Amino acid sequence: MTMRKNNIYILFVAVILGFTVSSCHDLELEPKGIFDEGTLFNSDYGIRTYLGAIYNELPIEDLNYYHNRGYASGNDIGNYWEAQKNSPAVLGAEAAGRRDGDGTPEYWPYERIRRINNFIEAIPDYSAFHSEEQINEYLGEAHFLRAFYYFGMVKRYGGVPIIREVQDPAAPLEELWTPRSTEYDSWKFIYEDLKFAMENMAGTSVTGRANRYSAAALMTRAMLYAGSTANYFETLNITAGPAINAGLMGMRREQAAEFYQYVVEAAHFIQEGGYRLHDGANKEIAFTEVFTEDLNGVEDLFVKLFGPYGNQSIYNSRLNHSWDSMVLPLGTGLASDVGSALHPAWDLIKLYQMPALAEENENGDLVPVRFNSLNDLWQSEEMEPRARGTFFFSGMTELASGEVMDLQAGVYRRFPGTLADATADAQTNDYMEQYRIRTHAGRGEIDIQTVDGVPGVKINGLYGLSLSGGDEGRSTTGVFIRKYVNPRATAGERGLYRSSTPFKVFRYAEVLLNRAEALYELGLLTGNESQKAEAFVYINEVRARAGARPYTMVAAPEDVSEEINALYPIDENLQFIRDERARELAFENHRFFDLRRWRVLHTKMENFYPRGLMGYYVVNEGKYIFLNDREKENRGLNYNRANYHQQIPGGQINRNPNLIRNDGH
Amino acid sequence: MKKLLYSLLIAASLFCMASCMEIDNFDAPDAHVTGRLTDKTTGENFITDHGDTHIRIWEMSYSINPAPQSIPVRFDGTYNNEKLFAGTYDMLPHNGPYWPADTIRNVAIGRKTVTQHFEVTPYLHITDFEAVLEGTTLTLSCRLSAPFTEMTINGEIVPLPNVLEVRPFLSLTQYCGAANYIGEYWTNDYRVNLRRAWSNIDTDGDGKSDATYTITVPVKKGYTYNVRMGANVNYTDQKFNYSEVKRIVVPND
Repeated sequence: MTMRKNNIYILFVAVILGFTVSSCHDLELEPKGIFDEGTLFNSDYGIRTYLGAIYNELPIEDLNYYHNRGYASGNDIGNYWEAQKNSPAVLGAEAAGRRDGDGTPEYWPYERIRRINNFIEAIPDYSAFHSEEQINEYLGEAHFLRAFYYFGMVKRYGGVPIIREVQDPAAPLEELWTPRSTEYDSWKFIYEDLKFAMENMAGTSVTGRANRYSAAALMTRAMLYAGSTANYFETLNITAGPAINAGLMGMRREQAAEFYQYVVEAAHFIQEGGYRLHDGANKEIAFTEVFTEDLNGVEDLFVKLFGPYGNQSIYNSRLNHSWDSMVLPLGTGLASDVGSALHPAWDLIKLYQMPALAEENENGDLVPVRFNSLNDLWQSEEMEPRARGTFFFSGMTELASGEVMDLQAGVYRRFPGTLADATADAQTNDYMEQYRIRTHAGRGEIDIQTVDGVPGVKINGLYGLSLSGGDEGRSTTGVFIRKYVNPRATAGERGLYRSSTPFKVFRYAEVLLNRAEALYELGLLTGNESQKAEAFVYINEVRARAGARPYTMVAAPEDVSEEINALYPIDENLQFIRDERARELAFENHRFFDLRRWRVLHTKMENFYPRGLMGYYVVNEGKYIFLNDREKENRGLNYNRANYHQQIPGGQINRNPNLIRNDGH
Repeated sequence: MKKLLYSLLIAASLFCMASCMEIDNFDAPDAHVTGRLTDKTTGENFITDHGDTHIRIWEMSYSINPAPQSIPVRFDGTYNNEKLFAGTYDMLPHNGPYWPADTIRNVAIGRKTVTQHFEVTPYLHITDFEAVLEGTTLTLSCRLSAPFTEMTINGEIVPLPNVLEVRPFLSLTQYCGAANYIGEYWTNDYRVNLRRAWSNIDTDGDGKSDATYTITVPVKKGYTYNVRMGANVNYTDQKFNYSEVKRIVVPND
């Protein structure tokens, strides 16, 4: 006992001494474990380290983007297993999945912008270590990165506070409370930054790092968003409040042409840089290669890398995604976890060139076309190869596993009715109850039954619909996503967080589509027919690579706005350009943002239920039909029109009372 | 030694618990505001459904840039909130289907009940509402009328926004409207899609729609429905103006 008491006493004295002696030490020492600016900015390696973290958090809606939670920047930073299931593709009507709430989360990355501003201010002081040209390239790159962060904000909120300099935390609060700039000025700020980047950045870069053409590509996208907001904001007729009156949200139609013109100029700049579409004799394979091969300097303008890759590029986040595992079904060589949680929806599939699935009967009613095999759909000459590169239809083979995607959804005993009988809004009706058979088979099971005396009728495909088992593991819409699926994946690479297929942030096809849309809108605004015609040169360039038939511009186009309940007239040529974007850029997380900037999302997504492309066997005929049934989970979707301009986060207003809230909420 | 440890532990836990003993130095909010929303053109309570319109309030005495709060207006056009902090509020009828109203500034809401009424001018009235039941087929019809086809707001003449659509609302409870309806009836099959300016709806300028809008819906035997029709215009929230509610009893055989 005494021994212990002694110990406690000694310990006590030691601690007291430790405290007193430590004050003799000078605390103002350079910490040895932290790289300061001087260490980082005097070498390219250091600068890459500094910028790498900024690259990691760029607002890229990539394969990990979670619609309601935002961007994943590291394996344990916002990288949710269910991200793909909650892809923005769901609210863009591209796929059936999950979605909770229709807002997108708070996005207020001024901490990153501060780091960029710090870099812009400091790097000219390191001219002893870098050539003048190099310093200009770094400055250009920093301006590109800053524009990208601002683009992430302005597309959500409209006008935001513009901060060009590093703020001094000790300054009076009134100076730090930067008010929002107008939406017009915010877009122009992005324009100025990108213009600087296009003039100063290097002409080439390693895969994963940006160059001046990446900046130009962002220019085409950002300015197209700006043009659309100016063009269509007023159609919403939002009651003006403080934000609209001050120009903080929304723009006027007269301001649209300026932005569309910037798109055209930047796209021309990229064309001059020698970019082109990746093509090949086999159009289907060529299209899949766009997403699985490194096409740096050909079609790729900027790529986000995933997985571990040391020092070869700017990133070193070791961030992975789960794309293969979340779009392919559970099965040998296929997904090893979860499996197919994001299911392509008819609303997207129907836009592609494909054989007719229904025809008129003698009464003028639509009835399903009879096929000899489900394969007849995709093996038809009529099916555009790009669709086969985007989807796995029933009967197609997944290359890495060699598995055939048998996606038969069920059988009909007989099918004496019309398409309307079998695809009513209700999940079941008397017609379906009487004739349709579907299965509750478990995973990996095929249900074989005797139907109306016919023995051995296969009810479902191996990966096809089962009414049990929720929305994971097997198909609920009769089609799987093929885009971005790794054709060389080993089984081990198809679990959660095991995929590292890079994401093509900007590719030349998008630039062509941006250019075409901007040209056609310019033509509409100014009555310039030659600009309209030029738009279809680029549309047809995209269609040629896709293996689809070229489109001829309709001279006297009809207004097709009724179909999607749009609030303003849309001519059929313009709608074709918009649909071409949907076809080419499917699942690249453009669709939601496109529908949003066109202000047609809220009328399209009004009690919207996704449908599928379901293959059924008709037993008494021995034939197959395709029906666009409602997806079985039957989740209705709505979009709140107030979110075209998201509300400024309340927490930010608490910090900066000069921020004016958006109107219409 | 053990005793020492235990007494230290007890002392520490008592210390931690101390904060639980303290009585909150703020009272629960108990300021009370109530009132009703009336239709300026008729003097009657404004016809609405739960959640379609709100009284938006800003607590001006608390912050220079206050976050808005909303008090929902009930089915019968009244509203009530008994749990506000006493203070000075700005109040505005908000996001309902009426011409933009004026904000009432600096309403002092304290311990005593404050009654604050609001007058609003609806975009549309639904008139001549009929509901005819034949077997299990219900035929609903109505006409629209617009109290004003334009309005001067902040010195600018603003036309009535485009009329979007006419819809039926069927419900099995006493409440009926865009917040309380049977979802099967909210499809494009059971609506009149207008999407046009008022001048194309009322060509003779008598303030009423030229056409009578008719929608036929199937109903089920043995059910009692509450039914009304609504129409909306393209303003910020696109909420509906409603007709009165009719009760439809579908016989069992």
